[in-house]
Amino acid sequence: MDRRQALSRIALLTGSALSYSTIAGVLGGCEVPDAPDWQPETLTSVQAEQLRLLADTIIPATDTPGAGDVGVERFIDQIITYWMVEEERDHFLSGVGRAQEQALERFGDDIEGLTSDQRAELMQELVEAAEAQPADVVKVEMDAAWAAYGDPVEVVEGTRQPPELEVTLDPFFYRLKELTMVGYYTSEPGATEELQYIHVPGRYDGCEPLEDVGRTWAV
Amino acid sequence: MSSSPSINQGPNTYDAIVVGSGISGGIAAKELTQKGLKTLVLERGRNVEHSVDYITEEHRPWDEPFRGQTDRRKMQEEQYVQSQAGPVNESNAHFFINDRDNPYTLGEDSDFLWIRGHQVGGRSLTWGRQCYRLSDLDFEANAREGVEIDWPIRYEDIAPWYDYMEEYVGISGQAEGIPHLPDGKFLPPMAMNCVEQDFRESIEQNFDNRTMTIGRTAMLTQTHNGRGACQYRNLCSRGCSYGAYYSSQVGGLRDARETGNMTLRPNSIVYEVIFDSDTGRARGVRVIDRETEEELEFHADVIFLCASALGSTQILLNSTSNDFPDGLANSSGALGHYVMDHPFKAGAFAEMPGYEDQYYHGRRANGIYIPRFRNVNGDQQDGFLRGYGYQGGASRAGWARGIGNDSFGVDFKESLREPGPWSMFLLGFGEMLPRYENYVELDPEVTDRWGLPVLRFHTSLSDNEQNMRQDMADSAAEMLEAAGGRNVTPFVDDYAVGEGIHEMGTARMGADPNESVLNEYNQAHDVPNLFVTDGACMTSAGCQNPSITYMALTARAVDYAVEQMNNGGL
Repeated sequence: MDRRQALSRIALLTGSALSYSTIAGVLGGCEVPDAPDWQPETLTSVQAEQLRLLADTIIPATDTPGAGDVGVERFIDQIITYWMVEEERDHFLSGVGRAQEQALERFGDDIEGLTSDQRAELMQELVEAAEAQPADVVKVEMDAAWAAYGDPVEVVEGTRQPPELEVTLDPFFYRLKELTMVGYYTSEPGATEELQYIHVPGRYDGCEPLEDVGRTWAV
Repeated sequence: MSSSPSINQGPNTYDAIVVGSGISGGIAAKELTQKGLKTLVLERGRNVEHSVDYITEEHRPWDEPFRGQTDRRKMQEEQYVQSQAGPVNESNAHFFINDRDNPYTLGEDSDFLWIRGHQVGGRSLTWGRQCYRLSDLDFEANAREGVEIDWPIRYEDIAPWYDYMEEYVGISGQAEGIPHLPDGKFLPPMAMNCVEQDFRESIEQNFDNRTMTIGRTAMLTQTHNGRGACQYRNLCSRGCSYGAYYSSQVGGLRDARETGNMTLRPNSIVYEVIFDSDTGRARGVRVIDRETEEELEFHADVIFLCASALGSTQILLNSTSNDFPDGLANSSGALGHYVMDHPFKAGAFAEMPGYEDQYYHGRRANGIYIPRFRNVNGDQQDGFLRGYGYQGGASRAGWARGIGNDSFGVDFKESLREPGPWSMFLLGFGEMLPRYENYVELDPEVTDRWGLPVLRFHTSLSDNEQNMRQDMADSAAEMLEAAGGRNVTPFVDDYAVGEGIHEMGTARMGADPNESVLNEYNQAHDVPNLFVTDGACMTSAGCQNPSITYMALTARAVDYAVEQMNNGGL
């Protein structure tokens, strides 16, 4: 099963008892720092702003906040800093660079300078590029993967070993969209304003008219 | 009982010692202390206080540092085995062990996932909570088919103890009158959703011999024994301050503590049961204090091993003497052999058209159950003996269905405000046959950080389990098709023995001391004051989630042991 299939299987199962941890188990996530003087750790400030705008193109503000309003770019910076291995990080950042080049070629301006219509056109081009580009699965030696963090793993010889770490290098649009959606719908505004979330439901009703329930449950 | 003189006098001397504080140990502690025995409960892991130590219970999705998945690097470094099993996630990873401190080795062509929770309460904090009785279909299976040895008990021996334990634990469920999945003492059942209700009807209309019921689960649908009802948060494995699911914290240990007869000692790694050659009895246990690394000895009149199937087996294998060079109570040579689990990760799912105007409220941490229909009631399979049950359920797709497609923008966002299509998911849990070739032994070379020999696993699946798993996928797909499912997708995913986290069978019960470790009361044939009442005792596996059986056998064994002690027969 490739990763796209895995994702669609998970999407189908969403809402069941499996939903939250299973999805997050595949996709990962990270705490979004909310300090007002936030500085990205891996992204440049320009890249962070570009990603904020691209995320907001995927989930724009409507009568509820958009992805650009809830710190999705901060979440992305955390993920690429603390969760991705080098191969994934490089692959994603080169995607940001290509999007910027495309903006210049197509509209003669940086991503930050585009109108929302132009950003939507750019996004459509990223979709088409992604459709044409198959995902790459890369096997990563665990020690090498985490070498940047120090403390290489020492596991006693002969004991059951950690599994080989496999990472998938998705086309830029798909990875961007996934990070945007996870960051948005697990944020407080995304979960509680756009969708709905109750920490203590208190009861289970298995057959309630949708119009009485209202919107999709965030979890 | 406590009034009778103990042969073991001294400050480290008790009437009874219980090793382990999980599902079985909690019940042993409760039963022994309520019968008046001064009982020492030894737990190798840290203490976990009810509610106080449920540190992630109140986290919202946006509070989780990695939004549900633990730090991938930390998993790879410290929990590279634990994280391969489904139940482990960011919010409960602290209730699973560090794999680097607790290694084990594999024999040739073997794999095993050993998922452990070293803390007070053990895996009762994180268990799946499903509770199903075994029946004589299970207890007679080995004898009927000529597989290995017969169980020394039948359903009628354990039935009153199921009653007793179910009333104590609080099991919600629906009575169905199925002889091979006996009804129990149930609290009101949880509800099925609309799709599940119709799916049940479809199964009953289209298939003889098959039905579906709501999961029978150790989750309270009303207040019970001083514990609160389920709030439908589906956060169980973080620990539940309502006490709505059964754990040792809100059950056995709580009630043992109330008697004033329990001494609970966390951080106490039992590595040996001391055998007294003169009396032919166990005298006590040897312990390494996990924090101080001090070596200690504790004595008692009776010892209950409830350290999990493989934990108890490891202690016995490590308890060697002139009388028992191959491990205590192992004159039969059966100790460590016949490892079983419940093979799963095979089944099917499908989209269920319709019901667009229906949804649900609350997160029900329970699903449906389709009782075994293979090799029972006239069904006969060529490819495998025994059978399997399905767990699963129906739900509507949420926002994640938008990942992986090409849509974006305002319309896309709006479309996810409504839930997506319904789907139905069926996952088989099968019976694994006991085989001598599936065994654990002490590794001759590798030791853990306390210098204790680690277990070496020789475990693999036989054709019986492989064929059964294929049938799990085929039959699930067949039922989904019959119910009008779309895009029916059968699957048989990779599964390693142990991944079901129902490991069992390594100190089996039997009538003949030459072929089994334990008798019909979980008492060691070779050592009369030694009992093993966790999953190690299982002579065959059934396909039912086993915890309620361990609880019932534990209570029954304590009753027998104390009666024998009072009659001077131990």
